[in-house]
Amino acid sequence: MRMRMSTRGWTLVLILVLVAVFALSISPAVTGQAKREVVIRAAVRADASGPDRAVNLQRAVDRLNPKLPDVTIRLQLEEAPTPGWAEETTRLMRVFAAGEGPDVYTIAHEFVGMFAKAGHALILDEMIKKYPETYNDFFPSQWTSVKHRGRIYGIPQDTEARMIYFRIDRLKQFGWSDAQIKGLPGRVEKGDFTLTDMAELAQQMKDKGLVDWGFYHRPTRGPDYYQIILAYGGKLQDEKSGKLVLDRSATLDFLRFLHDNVYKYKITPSGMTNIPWRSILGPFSAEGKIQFIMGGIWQSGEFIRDYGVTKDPVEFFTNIDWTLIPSGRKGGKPVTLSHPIIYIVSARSKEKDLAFRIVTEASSAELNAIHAVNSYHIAVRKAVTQLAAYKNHAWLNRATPLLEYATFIPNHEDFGRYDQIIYEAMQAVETNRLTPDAALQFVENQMRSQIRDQLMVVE
Amino acid sequence: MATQAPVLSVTRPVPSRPTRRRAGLILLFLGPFVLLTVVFFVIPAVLTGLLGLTDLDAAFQGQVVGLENFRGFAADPLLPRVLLNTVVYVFFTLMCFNVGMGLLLALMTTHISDRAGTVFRAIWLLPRLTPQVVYALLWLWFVDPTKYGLLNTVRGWLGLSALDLISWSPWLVIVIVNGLIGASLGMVIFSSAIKSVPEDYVRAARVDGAASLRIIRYIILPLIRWPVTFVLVYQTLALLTSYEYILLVTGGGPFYDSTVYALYVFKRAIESGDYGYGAALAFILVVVGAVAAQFYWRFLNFERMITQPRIESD
Amino acid sequence: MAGLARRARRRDAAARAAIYGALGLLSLPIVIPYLWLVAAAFSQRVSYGLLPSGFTLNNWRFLWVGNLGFVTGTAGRLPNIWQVVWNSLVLAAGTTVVVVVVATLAGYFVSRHDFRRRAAFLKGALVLQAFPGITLLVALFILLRTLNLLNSVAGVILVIAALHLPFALFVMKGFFDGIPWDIEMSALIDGASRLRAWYTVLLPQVRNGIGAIAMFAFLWGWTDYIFVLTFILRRNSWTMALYLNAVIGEYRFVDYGLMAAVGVFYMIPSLLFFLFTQKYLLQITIGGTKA
Repeated sequence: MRMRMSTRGWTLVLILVLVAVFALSISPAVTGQAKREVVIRAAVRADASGPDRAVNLQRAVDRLNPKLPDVTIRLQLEEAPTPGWAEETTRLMRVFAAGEGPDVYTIAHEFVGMFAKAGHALILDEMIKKYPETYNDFFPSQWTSVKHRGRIYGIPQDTEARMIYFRIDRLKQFGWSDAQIKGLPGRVEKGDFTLTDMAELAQQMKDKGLVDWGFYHRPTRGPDYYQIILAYGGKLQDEKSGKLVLDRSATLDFLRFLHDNVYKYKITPSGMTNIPWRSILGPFSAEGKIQFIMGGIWQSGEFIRDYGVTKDPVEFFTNIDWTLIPSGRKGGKPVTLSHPIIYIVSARSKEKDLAFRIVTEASSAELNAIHAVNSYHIAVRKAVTQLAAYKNHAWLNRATPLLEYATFIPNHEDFGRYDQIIYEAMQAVETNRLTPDAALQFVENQMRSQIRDQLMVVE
Repeated sequence: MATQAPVLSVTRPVPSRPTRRRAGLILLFLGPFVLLTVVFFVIPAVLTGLLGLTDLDAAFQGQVVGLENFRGFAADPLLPRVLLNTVVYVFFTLMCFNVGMGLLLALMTTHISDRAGTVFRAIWLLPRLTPQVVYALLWLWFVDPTKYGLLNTVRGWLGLSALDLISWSPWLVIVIVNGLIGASLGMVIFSSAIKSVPEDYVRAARVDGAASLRIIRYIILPLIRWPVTFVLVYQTLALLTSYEYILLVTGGGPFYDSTVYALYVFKRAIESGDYGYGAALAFILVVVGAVAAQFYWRFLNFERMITQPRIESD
Repeated sequence: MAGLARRARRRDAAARAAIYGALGLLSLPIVIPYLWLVAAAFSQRVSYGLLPSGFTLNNWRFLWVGNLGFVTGTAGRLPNIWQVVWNSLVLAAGTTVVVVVVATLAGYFVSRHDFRRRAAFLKGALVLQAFPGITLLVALFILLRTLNLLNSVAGVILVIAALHLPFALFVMKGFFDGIPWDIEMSALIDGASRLRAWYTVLLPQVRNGIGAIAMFAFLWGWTDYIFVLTFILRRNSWTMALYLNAVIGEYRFVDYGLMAAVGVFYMIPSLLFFLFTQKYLLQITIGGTKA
C-alpha cells in the first residue's frame, strides 16, 4: 500500500515538473523576449453601427507595440452582444461588480455620470494634456458630451447628426418643383417649415396615395425623441445645478405631436414601437413608401449595405435627402442631436497610462477615420476631416454642416430613468392608452418618485 | 394484497431509531437535494428579502433604507393595472391552454393511433423545445404590425387592412404566446394519465354503449383529477413568475398593458437598475407564491401526494 | 348486437376523422412558422421577412467562416461556433446529470421512506416552485460571486439545476410510487442492502422517469438565456443563446437567412434529444395516478 502511494506520488511530481517545464518554455523569459508583456482588457459593445470601435483598439495596439521600449501589450477584447447601450451599461456594472472590470470600455456618453459616480471611470483632464497634438485637435463642442460635474471622463469616438430623411421622388409626384424640394432644408433652417407643416404635408401625400405612411420614427428607446422636445423650445437639464429638467409645456407639445400624427393626421401607425427596424428602413429607402423618417446619418450606410440602395451618391440623393429636425414653432430654431459613443479608462485599471495610450492611438486621425468612413459617423477631430477618405465621402460631407445645431442629451446619472419614463409615455400616447395630458401627468409622477431631488419641474 | 402483510410485519416491529446508518441514508439520498436547493434557492430568496431593505443600485452601491421600498410599492400608481394584467394572464393562460388545451390535446391524441398521436404531441412540444430567443423571433415576425408580417400578409390576401395585434389586444398575445408553450406540459401529463386508465374500464363502458363523451366525462376525467390538480397548481405558480416570453415579444407594452407582475419586477430591477426596489418587489412575489401554495395544500387535497410511504417510518 | 357494434365502429371512424381534422387545424399555427424558419435558413432572399426564395447554403457560413465580419449586420468577430456549441453542450449535459442524479436519489427517498418532517419537506419543495427563480437574479449574482462561480458554466449548471429540482423531485417520486413495493421488499429479504436494492432493483424500474426528466433538464440547460446572459461575462464561455442573440443584434432583423440558419442549428440538438427520449415522456405520472 505504502509502496503504491509513493509510486503515485512520484508520478505526480513528474507531471508537475513536466507542466512547469512546459509553462516555462512558453513564457517570454525563456524565449528570450526582453519586453514585459502587459495584458490590457477591453470591453466593447458589439454594435452593428460601429464595429470599428472594437477593431480600432486592436489596430492601436498593433501600432503602439513597436514604439514601446520595455513592454508588449496584448489586448484581450470582449465584444458583448447587448441589445442597446442602456443594457450594455448594466452589463458593464455587473462585470465591475464581479471584479472583472476591463481597463478600457465603450459607453454611450449619457451614462458617464453613472460610471463616474461608481468609481469605474478615470478622470482624464490631466492625461489629456500629455497628448496635445491629439486632443487639441478635437472639436471643442465634443468635450461637453464627456464631462460630468465639470470633469472629463471619456474620449468621444464618433458623433453623428440626426435628421429627418425624406423622399424626393414622392414630393415630385406630389407636384413640388425641383426648386421647392431643394429649398426645403433651407426653409427648415429659417424656421419657415415647422413640425406641423411637415405633418400636414405628409398627410396630404398619404391621402393622395403616394406613400403608405407619412412619418416614421425609431421603434425603440433612443435619443431621437428629445429632438422634438427641444424643437418645441424645451430644456432637459439645468446648467447651473446640473439637475434634470421636466419642461412641462414642451413635453406636452411633444406628446401632442405624436398623438396627432397617429390620430389627427394619420401619418404614423399606432403600433410604431412594435415595428421591426427592417420594416421601417427597407420600405423607406428601397421602396419609397414612407415620406419622412426621423433617423441618423449612419442609417444611410444601412440603406446601402442592407437594403440594396445605390452606393452612387448622385443617384442616392436624387431620391433621398434630409433636413434638420424642424422647429415646433414658426421662426424657431431647427434641431439635431449628437450622441457620441466614448472610450472610458477604468479608474480601477492597473495600467491606466498604457490603457490611455491605446485610447489616444485609437483616436489618431487615421484610425478614427476608418471608423467614421465605414460606419457613416461624423468625425470628432479636425484632422480626420482633412483625410481624403473622409473628404470624398459624400454623405459625411453633406451631414457635417448640420452639427452647427448639435445638442446633447444630459450626462446625468439618472438620465436612464428619465429616458425610460419618456419612452413609456410616448408609447402610451401613440397607442391611445393615455391622452397627452394624462401622459404628462404620468411622466411627472414617475419622475418625481424615481428621480426625486435631482429633478426640476418647469412650466 | 395478501403478500403484503407478512412483509409489513418484517419491518414494522423494528422501532426505527435515528441510528447512524439511517442518518447516513438520509444524507446520501436527500443530502444533495437539500444542499443544492438551500444554497441556490433558499439562501438567494432570503438574500432577496434582505436586499429589499436597501436601495442597492445598478452600480451595486446602496444603503439600508428599511421598509422604504415597500412603502413605495404601496403607493405605486401602476400597480393596479399590473395586478389586473397578472390575474387575467395567469387565469386565461391556465384555463385556455395549460389545462384546457392540454386536456383537449391529450384526449384527442390518445384517441387516435399511437403513431399519429405521437406526431401531434411532438408538434405541440416544438415551442417548448425551441430556444426562447428563436421562439420570440418567430412571434415578432408573426405580429409585425406592418403589412410585411405573417398575420397581415394573410389579412392582405383576405382584403383586410394591416392590424397591430399587440396594440389591438395585448392580453390575447401574451396568453397565446405562453399558452402554446404551456399546453404541452399538461398534454404530456394528461396523456400519460389517460393511457394508464385501465383499458377494461373503457372497454366495459363501450360495450355498454356509452358514447365517447360520456366515457370521458364519467370514467377518464375522474381518474385524472389528480394530474389536473397538479398541473393547475404547478402552472399557476410557474405562470405567476414567468415573464421572459412577454419581455421578448411585447416588452410589456403598449404602455403597461401587457406588463405582468414578474415582468414589472424585472423592469424595475434590471432595466431601471433599482436592485433594491426590485428585490422588494420580488420578495412580495415570493410571499404570494408561498401563500398560494398553502391555499392549494389545504383546499385541493394535496395530502394525497404525501400519502404515507410503505416501508418505514420514524 | 352486431349492428350496434357496426354503428359504433362507424361512429368511431367519423369521430376519429373529426379528431384528425381538429388536431390538424389546431397545429397549423405552430407548423407554419417552423416551416418558414427552415425555408428561410436555406433561402437567398426573404423579402421583408416573408417569402423565401432561391436555394442557398450561404446562410450556414457561420459553421465554416471564422469571422463573419459586419456584412452580417453584427459587429466584429463572433467566437468560434464550435467553442460555443461545446459550452452549450457542457451546460446542458451538466444540468442533466445533476438533475437526474439528485432528483432520483431524493425522489426514491420521499417515495419510500418516512422521516421526521417529511410532510414539511414536501410542502417546502412545493412552495419552492412558487419562488420566482428569475427574480432572484441579483441575489444569485451576488451569491455566485461569493462562491467564485461567476463566468463558469458550472455555476450556471448548479443554479438552473437547483431551480428545477423540486419539479424533477415530484416527477421521480411519481415513478417510484408506481413501483409495486413488494419488488423492493423481496430484494431486501434476500439480504440486499437498501442501497443495493435501490441500485439494482428500483432504478431499472424508473428508467422512463429518468428519461423524462433528463429530457427536461437537457432543455433547461440548452435553451437558457437569462441566466447565461447574467452570469457569463466572458466571450469564451458563450453559449448558443448568446451567439444567436449576437446575430440578431438589436433586433434589427437584417440578415433573415443567417438568423434563421443559426436558429435552426440551435434547435437541432434539442430535437435530437427529444427524439431519443420522447417515448419516456408519456410515462410521467405525478404524485401517483396509479396509486
